[in-house]
Formats: sequence, structure tokens, C-alpha cells
Amino acid sequence: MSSTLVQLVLTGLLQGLLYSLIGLGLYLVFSVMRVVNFAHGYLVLIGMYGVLVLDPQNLLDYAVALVIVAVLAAGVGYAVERFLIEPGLDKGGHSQLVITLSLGIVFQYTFQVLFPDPFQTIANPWPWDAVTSGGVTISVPRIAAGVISLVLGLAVSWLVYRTRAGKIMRACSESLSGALHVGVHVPRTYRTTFVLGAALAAVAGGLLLPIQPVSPLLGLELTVKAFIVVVIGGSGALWGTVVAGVLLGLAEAVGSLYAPGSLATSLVYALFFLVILLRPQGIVSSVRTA
Amino acid sequence: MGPALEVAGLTVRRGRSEVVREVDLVVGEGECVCLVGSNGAGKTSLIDGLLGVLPTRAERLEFHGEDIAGTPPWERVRRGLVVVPQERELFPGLSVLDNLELGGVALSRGKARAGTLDDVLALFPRLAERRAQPAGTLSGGERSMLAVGRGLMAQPRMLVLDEPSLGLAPMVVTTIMAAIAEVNAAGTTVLLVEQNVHQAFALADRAYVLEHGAVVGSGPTAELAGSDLMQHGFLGSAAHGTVVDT
Amino acid sequence: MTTRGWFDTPLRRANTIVVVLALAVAVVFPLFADAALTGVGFVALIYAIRNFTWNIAGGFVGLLSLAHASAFGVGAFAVAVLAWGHGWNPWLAMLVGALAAAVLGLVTSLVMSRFGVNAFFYALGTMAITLALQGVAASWDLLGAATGLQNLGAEQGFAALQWFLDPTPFYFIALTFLVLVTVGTALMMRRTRFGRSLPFIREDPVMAASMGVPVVRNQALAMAISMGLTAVPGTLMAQYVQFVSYDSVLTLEIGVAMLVGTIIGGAGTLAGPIVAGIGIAAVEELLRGLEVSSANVSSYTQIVYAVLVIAVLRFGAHGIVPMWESAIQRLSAPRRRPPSGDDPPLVSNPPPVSLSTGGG
Repeated sequence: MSSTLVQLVLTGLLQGLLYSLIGLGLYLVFSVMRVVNFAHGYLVLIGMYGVLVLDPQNLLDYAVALVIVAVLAAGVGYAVERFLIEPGLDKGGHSQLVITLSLGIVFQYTFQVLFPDPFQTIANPWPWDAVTSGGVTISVPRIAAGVISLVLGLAVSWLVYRTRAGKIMRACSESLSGALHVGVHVPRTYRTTFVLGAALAAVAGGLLLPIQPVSPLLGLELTVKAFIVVVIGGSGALWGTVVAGVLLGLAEAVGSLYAPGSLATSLVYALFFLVILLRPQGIVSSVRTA
Repeated sequence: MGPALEVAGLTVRRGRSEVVREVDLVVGEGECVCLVGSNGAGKTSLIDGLLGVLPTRAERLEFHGEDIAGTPPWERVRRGLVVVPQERELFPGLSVLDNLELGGVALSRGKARAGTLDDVLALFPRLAERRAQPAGTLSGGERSMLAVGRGLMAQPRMLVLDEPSLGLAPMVVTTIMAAIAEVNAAGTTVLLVEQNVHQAFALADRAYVLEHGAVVGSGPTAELAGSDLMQHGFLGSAAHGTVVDT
Repeated sequence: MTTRGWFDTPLRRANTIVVVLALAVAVVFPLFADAALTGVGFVALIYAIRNFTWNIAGGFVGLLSLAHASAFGVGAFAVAVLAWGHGWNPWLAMLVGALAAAVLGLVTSLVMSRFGVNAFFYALGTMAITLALQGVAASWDLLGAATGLQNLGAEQGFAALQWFLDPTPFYFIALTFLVLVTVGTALMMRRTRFGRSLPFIREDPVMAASMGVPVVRNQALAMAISMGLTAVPGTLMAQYVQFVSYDSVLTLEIGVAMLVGTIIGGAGTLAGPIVAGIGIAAVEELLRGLEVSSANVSSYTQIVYAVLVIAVLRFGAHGIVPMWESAIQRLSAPRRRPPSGDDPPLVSNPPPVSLSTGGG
């Protein structure tokens, strides 16, 4: 393999881990609450803009900034779940879908008004710039983002499969009626899940910022990517989401070699359309069979 | 000693229709009462109303003397009103053991007793054999046992069982009924909903008969069994046919 | 539609009066407005038209489509490429654009049905279509790529569908189109078997299919009609602004605006999308009047839009028009309230995503 290709694959892999982390929050909310959150990408933007505003100058500042944006997004997530999503859960139909879609618009244009300059970023908070070996150069923020995403993914997996809270979340996901019969405080579980998903999204945003400049339109793009991850990841175990994220990152990296700019984006969307057609049972079936 | 459950004028709605109307029901503490009625009489809706998963209206809805009207299901389970649903509603992807542990989820950590799991596994040894298996792979009888066992994990003061014998082979029905009798003998109040009247009457002290969403008769099972209502009512057809779940 | 029925009930009386008044105001509006304000009126009508045409598939059949943004773009690019670039008659270009958009709608719907896609994936899939087409427009020189296409023609008049100074003719063409489409849709919904089947398909496609309604065909037909008609305001807008580009006429925001606008006004009603479209244009104008910097006007409008729709859905209303109708009915015939005192309707175990588009 040429060093360019190795570089490309590594970059794609690391980017993919970050996508997994973004997709993970969406997956949790969908599988536990059966809510399709079209505003998910904007929760990532809260992380990005939050870190941008805090403008950390060193690693410690950066770590603190990540915690702050996680808490901030968790608060926003709580309010959204409690006051917008929860009251409509028993109504069914399209209302959740349209509410989260509209919420995405509110976020996007609020960011547009607050941050009119497009493509802003922060200085590299890590003490090193890049790692070079055998003609392959990978920037440290990218490596850090990938590794931290992986660690957080493992932590979430531990939470879901090994703890009492995780068991309750899985119970809600498997059978809402069953959860009610054993006395699960369902709204509390929903709030926890949504808050967790939002916090993960914001941390992912904070990790993404040093690699990719932020602009309000990025929210939609990230939402779509999170959907791609969840749809491809399918209904099975949580790690399907991680694999799907890595696949997306790799596909994007390799695709960038052959198709320029906006056409590459078109290809991703066209591919996504095909995935929707071929695997529509993906994330929905897990709910139906429960 | 006051009644475990006291219900007066309970109306339950499913969608826009009132499927249970103005039902009065009293279950004494430690008693075993059964609720019989043909298919579609509103038994399951009544149970869903008791648990609070369907909207209800009642003059009185008291559990051990406390008003539980308007409280959410998890609050009722926490107080010890536990329902074992007709559809079992297990968590198919989770192991038998996880299912049982989730049964005790409503208990505060201090109240949870380590011995409960052992008691349940002793009651249903089959579940102990299958402990690591996903609930979705169990047979019908094992699923019913797991549902009852999961209900017991909540350490109920009153256990409501919705047709636990539905669709099961006679051998398994006997096992389940024996377990219920044992639970009742140990002091837990039992409200048993059954279509299989012979099984239910053998177990229960008193019975209520539900037809078209209303109570049409009640009394000690010994008296009811010989009454006109039983002879000429729904039992004429239902009692002698076997009901098999499809 | 007989004239007799128009004054039967208080509601009908009120509605008839409102409709007649609104039409009268709409007709005389350009006489009292200057060119700039007439232009605002034209844009308001474009919003109303595209909400209305979205509603044919989105409201009446319940297909949550974001592909309509593509239809709007197709109409705009058709006139830009064919008329501005190749000297076609703009009216002919409009027709071609409408047909192309109709075919796009037809194919989209048939493919979705073939794969049994549900409502959630319908929204996602149609979103993907629009984003993919936008990417194509942004990179294809024929469609102006990143810079866009400009109308350099100097002809004006009805045949050229162009007036450089006075937008009044544009205004009346849009108004005429809106009236025609509204009357046509009303007739279709009442008089044709196809039109009457649409709400039925929305409520329960499985039931409709079991009763012999060709669900897949009618959904596809509704999408074709709806998207074909959505291309027309695209063409008119392009002619009016004399400029098109991937980020002016083919954006997801346009699709969301149609969806959201229709829901605010009242999905599945005739008047709702129109009321919301005009209302939104008015809000936009109001914000401009408040000297909000022009870059932020559309942002604030979108935020207002989205907050309104969240409020409508959150508080269980069905939009402006249904609220108006129930208000009139309550005023004219005060009824007893149903008995209350229920437990809160806590849990009713809804289907996660309503399966109203699972055709196949």
C-alpha cells in the first residue's frame, strides 16, 4: 500500500470513530424512545460552538471546555425532552418527526444569527501537531478525537450492557409495555437517555472542532451522517453503530480521492438513499419485534 | 385489616370507547379472588386500568387504604400492585436472569432482598436451568413461568395475574396454578383473571363475573359455581371448550 | 360546488365571507401598493402556492416529502437553462419543468412504495434526493455550478413572461395560478374517485388497499401532481428574480418551509397552506421593517416559522385554519364540554413511526 493510501485509510478510520460517537447518541434515543431526532446534528454544533466560544488555549482548558459543553448540551437535551418530546410521545404519528425537524431549524438559524462568520475553528489545543511515520502524517487532534471517541463508545457500551441503568434502558427498548409492568419510571429513563445522547453529541462536536471548522449548515450534514450510521448499523447490537461509523469515515476518505467537493457529497446522499431502500427494516425492526 | 384493593365505580377507556363501566371490586388482604368472563368482556382492560396504563375514572381507587387514582404505573408497582400481563410482555433479547432482575427494578435499593431471586428460582426450577438463555427463545410454558417469576421479583403485596394459563399444556397449567397457590399461601393477595373457570374456582375464595365491561355477579366460588349465572351464562360455551392461544 | 351550500351553516357563511373578502383584497392590492410592495405580494403568493402544492401530497395523502424542494428547483432551472440559455419560450420551459418534476415525483413515490418505505424513511429518503440533486447543481456547469445562472434577455411582455420594472403582471399570474390550482384541487378532492381516496389512504393505507383502492398508484399520482405543480412557482420565482443557483432555488430549507408552512396553516385543508404562506411573507416584511440586518431577516423568519410549528404540534392543535373553524363553530353553537376528571393519558403505546406510506 502506498503511504497516501495508508494515510487516507487512517484518517478515514479516525473520522469514522467520531461519526460512531455522533451516531451512538442518535441510536440510543431511537432505540429506547423510538424518537427520530432530526435535531441531533445541532446538538453536535452546540459542542462545536461552545468550545469555539470558550476558545481553550491549552489542553487543560480544552478538557474543561469539553465538560462544560457536555453539561450545556445535557441541559438543552433535558429541556427538549421534557417539554417538547415527552408531552407528544403518546400522540404518535408524525408530530415527533416534524417537531425535531423544526427544532433543527431553530438551532441552525440561531447559530446563523449568533455566529455570522462561517468556518470558524480553534487553535490546536494539544501540545503536539502531528505524528509522522514512514511518509504518513496524521494530525494529533485527529488521533485524539478518534481515540477518545472509541473510549467513550466503550464506556457507553459498558453502561448499556453492564449497569442497572443500562439494563433499564434496554428494557424500554425491548418492550415498553414490559417496562411499564415491572415498574420502570419510563419518563425518567427517557430523560436520562436523551440527556446522555445530547452530551455525547456535544463532546463529539468539541472533538471535531480542531479538525473541521464549524458553520451552521454543518448541523444538517452531521444529522444526515448520524442517520447513515444508525441505518447502516441496523437493529442489532450497539457495536453495529461503531462499525457503520468507521465504514462511513472510510468511504468518505476514499471517495474524496475520486470525486471533487459537492459531487462527493451528492454521492454520499445517493448512497444513503440506496441504503434506505435496501435496509428500511434496519432500525425500525428492532422496535417492531419487541 | 382493611382490604388490599378497593375499587368503586371504575370506568376504563380504550381509545374513545369505555370498555369497562362502573365496576365495583374489593379484594381483601391475603385473599385469592378471581375475575372470570368470556373473551372481550373487558378483563384485560380492567387490569390495565388497575395498573394505570389505560385512562380511568373512578369514585374510589384505593390500594391498602391509599388513594392511587391518577398515579403512574411505576408508582403503583412500587407500592406493591404488580400485574403479570396476558401477553407476558417479557424482554425477548434479555436473558432470563436479566428479566427477573428487571422485575425488581421498582424496589428501592434498601427494600430489595437478595433472597427473592432464590425463592423464585426455587418456585420455578425450569427458570434456573434457562437462566442465561434469552427470554425470546423460551417455550410458552417457560414464558408464563418467567412472567410470574418476574412479577414476584417486585415483592408484590398483591399479584394480579391475567390469564397465566392461556394457551398452555395441562401439565404446565398445573405447575403454574400450584405456584400461584403457594404464593397466596405465603400471604400475597392474588387477583386471578381467568377464562378457564374450573382452574380458577379451584384456587379462589371468591369470584367476580364480568360481562360487556360490567360486573354481573359476584360471591364465594362455591356458591357461584352452582348458580344460574354460571350455568346459563358464558360458561355454557366457554367452560367446556379448551382455549388455545394462537 | 353549488352556490347554495355556501351559506348553509355559520361556519360556511363565515368562510365564504372571508374567501370573498380575501380575493377582493388580493385583486385590488397592487392598485394601492407600490412596485416594491407588489413584489412582496408576489413572493407571498409564491409561498402560498408552493405550500398549497406541497399539501396535495403532504397534507391530503400524508407523504412527508422533502423532494418538493427539488421540484421547485427543477422548475427554476428549467426556465434558466431552456429559456435563458437556449432561447426557448419561457411558458414552454415552465411546462417542461413541471413535467420533469412530475416524473421525478412519480418515480420517487413508486420506488419508495416498491421498497415499502415508512413515513420516517420517506422523509429521510426524499431529503437525500434533494441534497443529492443540490450537490449535482452545485458542481454541474450547465446548471451554473457555484456561480449560478443569470437571465440576460431583454425581451419583456406576456409571451416572454418577463417585466423588468413593474411586478404587477407577475403578481396577477401567480394569483390566477393559485386560484386555478385551489379550485382544481377542491374539485378533484370532491368530485373524483381519486381525490376522495386520498384522505382515506392517509388515515389507513392498509384498510384502503383492502377495500380496493389502488394505494401505490394513487400515492404516486398525488406525488406527480403535487411535485409537477410545485415546479411552476419555481419557474415564476426564477423569472422574477432573473437569477438561479443551487443555493437559491434548490435548498432543503425550501422543502422544510413547505412542510412546516402547511402544518402551521393546517395540513390537509385547502386554505391553511395559503394563509400560512401569506402570513410568513408578512412576518418577513415586518422584520425588514424593524431594520433587522437583511442577512438576519430570513434567519429570524425561519426561527419564527419553526417555533410556530413546534407550538402548533406541542399543544395538539392542527393549524390555523382548523383552529379558526372550531372557534367559529364554538361561537355559533356552544356545546357542553365532555366530562373530565380522567387520569392523565399517560401511556397508550403508540406505534413509533406512523406507517402511513407503507405502500408495497
